[in-house]
Amino acid sequence: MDISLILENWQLFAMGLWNTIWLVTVSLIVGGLLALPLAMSQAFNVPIAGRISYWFSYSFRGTPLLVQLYLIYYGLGQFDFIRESFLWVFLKNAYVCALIAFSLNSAAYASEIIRGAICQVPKNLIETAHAMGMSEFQVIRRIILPIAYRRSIFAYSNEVIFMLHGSVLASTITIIDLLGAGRKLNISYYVTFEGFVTAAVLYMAIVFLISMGFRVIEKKYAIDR
Amino acid sequence: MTTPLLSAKDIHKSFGALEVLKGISLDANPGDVIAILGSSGSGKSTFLRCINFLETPTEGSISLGGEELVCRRGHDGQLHAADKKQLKHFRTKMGMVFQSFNLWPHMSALENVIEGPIQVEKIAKKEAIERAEHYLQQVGVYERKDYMPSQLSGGQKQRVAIARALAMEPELILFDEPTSALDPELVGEVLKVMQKLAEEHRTMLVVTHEMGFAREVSSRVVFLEKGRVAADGTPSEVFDNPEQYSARWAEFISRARD
Repeated sequence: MDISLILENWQLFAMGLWNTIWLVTVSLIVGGLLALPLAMSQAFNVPIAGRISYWFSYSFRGTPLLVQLYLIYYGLGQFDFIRESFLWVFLKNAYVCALIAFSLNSAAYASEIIRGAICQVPKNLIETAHAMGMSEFQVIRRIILPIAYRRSIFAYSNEVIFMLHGSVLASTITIIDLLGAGRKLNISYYVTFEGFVTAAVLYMAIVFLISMGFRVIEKKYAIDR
Repeated sequence: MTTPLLSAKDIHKSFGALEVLKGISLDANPGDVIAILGSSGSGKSTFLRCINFLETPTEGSISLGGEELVCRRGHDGQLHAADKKQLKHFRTKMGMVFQSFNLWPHMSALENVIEGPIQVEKIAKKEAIERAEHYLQQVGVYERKDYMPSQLSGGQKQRVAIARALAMEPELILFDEPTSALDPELVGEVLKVMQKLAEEHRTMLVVTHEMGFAREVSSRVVFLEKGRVAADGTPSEVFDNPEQYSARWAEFISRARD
């Protein structure tokens, strides 16, 4: 292990770390925003939207993330009408493709977590709100969703960690993320360990921070079943 | 004759082929405390739930203060409220306390109590808090107002649930076996609160197994048997001469005495 080699290339790892963090963060935010309507349309059996949501999460959870990424990055470019359209400005960019794939993938998983939690909100708590004269909308907003969110925290913390680990796939489409930085170091200096070990340590550090963050959130918001 | 506060007429309820309620009528006047007794399966909880339409009756009508709830027959063959606004109006006038307390677990005791007044009655938060604190004080859990439900004992939970019902300032409170889920040593504190409410002349319908409460606190006892009223009278009438009403009722109280 050549520690000084790693330290000399700190800028490379800083760039990788930054790319990984923002890719994952933006994907989780976009995925989270998409997840709520997806989950609700399925949990409340909304006609058409519920079916679309079902097939959306079925296809994104049914195929590997790498395949999704390749289909978006390499696949879409095969179509002339896409290459000739304004969309190509975005779709030829590897970052945009990674963001799309990660966001949709995360949306599918997160929506399943929230949908499950919505369906498991005890019926008697909903009934109590109805008995008080609350409208359907108020019951969803004030009772069902807050309880479902709180019950999703634990499962969602796993999804965040999976998303972080899944993000290494960005390095397969030219992006210098954390793994990409490690690999670049290895190739540039003909070493085997240094790059990967550094990446692994940094991934672990991020996971540690994520877990700590969720522990705080859980302590504050989690509710007994 | 004055109009009764609540008038349930000829309530029938079937679950598929099973007829649980076979025509129950009950009038409640202001200040009545009506204990509804019956063995399990007699339909007493179902009847209570039909009053605020948590359960949709198959036949019958519900009136509150002379106003009848307008119903429409749904595809499921049951009666549904035709006008959501009217149903909401009815429900705000009827508080309900459940066997399993049903406090919302993501809200503190106080938040549970102010939720209805703020969301349904649309009153200001400050006013709702004042009102909630008043009722929490009345049921004796004011000191626990900032606790989460998971930090409360069963008896405390049920008293918060009673405060939550009171905070809507209903004209009538429905109690669905309010002490059945409590540890024996906690039953007393909840019954005491209910007795206090009875002394304030609040109108209450209480489905219960507590014979002591029925006999001493209620002003009227209704005994249901297989979906029908088998005995109906003042506590002294029905408890002192049970044989006059029905053999099942006589047997029921003799077993309760053992």
